[in-house]
Amino acid sequence: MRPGPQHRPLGVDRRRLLVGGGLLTLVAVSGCSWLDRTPSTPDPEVHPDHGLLADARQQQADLLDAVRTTAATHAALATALAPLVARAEERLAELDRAVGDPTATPPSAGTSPTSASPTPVPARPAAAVRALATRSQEAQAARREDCGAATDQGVARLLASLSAGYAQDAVVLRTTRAAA
Amino acid sequence: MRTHDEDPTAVEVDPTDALQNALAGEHGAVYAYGFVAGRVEPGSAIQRQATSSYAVHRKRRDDLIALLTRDEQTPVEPAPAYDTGAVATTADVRRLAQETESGLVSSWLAVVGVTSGAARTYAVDATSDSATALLAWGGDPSALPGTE
Repeated sequence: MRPGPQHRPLGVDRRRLLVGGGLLTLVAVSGCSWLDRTPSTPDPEVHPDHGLLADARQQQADLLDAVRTTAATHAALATALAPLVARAEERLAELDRAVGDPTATPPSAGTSPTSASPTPVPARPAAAVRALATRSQEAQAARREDCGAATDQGVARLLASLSAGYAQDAVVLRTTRAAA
Repeated sequence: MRTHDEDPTAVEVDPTDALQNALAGEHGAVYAYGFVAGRVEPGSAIQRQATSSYAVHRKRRDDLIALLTRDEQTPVEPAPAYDTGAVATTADVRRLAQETESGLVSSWLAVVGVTSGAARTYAVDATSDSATALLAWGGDPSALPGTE
């Protein structure tokens, strides 16, 4: 939020208020980060944060598979879960880029290539949505904890953003469950 | 703020700058929610929501002031006035709240990158809190809040 000129009455230029805090943020995200590396410079395996990103990618891949499987099992939920699938795919793509494995691809719909023993989908739609909400909360907590261990500021921001995204998903899923 | 040695176009934010930026945002949020709470129907659900948000951000503001003071920094002061735009309808209130929380998600995410330990954990929680508050005010979820 940005202050307005002292002499200017309220309501003249809402943009001045609403972009608040954004200036330094834009500067911050342009700061140096291991995530900004180019393919020719780094060996991602040696970076101390690589394991944190790999863990995040694995959990995101499992979560995406769980959402897809739930939507396939409960067709009535498919429309409501579609935006969640899209967000999960976007996160997975970002984590693929961050981990640095160009061969990594999102799991195929209805399959579970990353999880040895996928969790069964509950028979009742409301319970199935509740299970997804629980997994989102677990992912939120995991990324929150891992963020504290990150040495790279870009990795820390990514993990924190993921945690916030999972928190949003859990809220959305609570609403979805109520409608299921 | 300092220029990065290897890339003259890139700069890093000093932790104090990021914290002061977040404090400026929290000052604005306190103003905005106080302003809203005083303009909507007394006792209405939206007033209760605004009052609750006011309390959350007042606490964040006070915590930031305490942190900066402990670090022997001078916390930024609130502005004498803020431009809120027209706040005549519920939609106006929601728009103001959404943009306020959205700005804070970005500000707190910047703090995450330049802090460690308890301060980083606090910033992570503040990022998530504003991200979910954004939804409570009618905003849309995103894959990676604060990075748009």
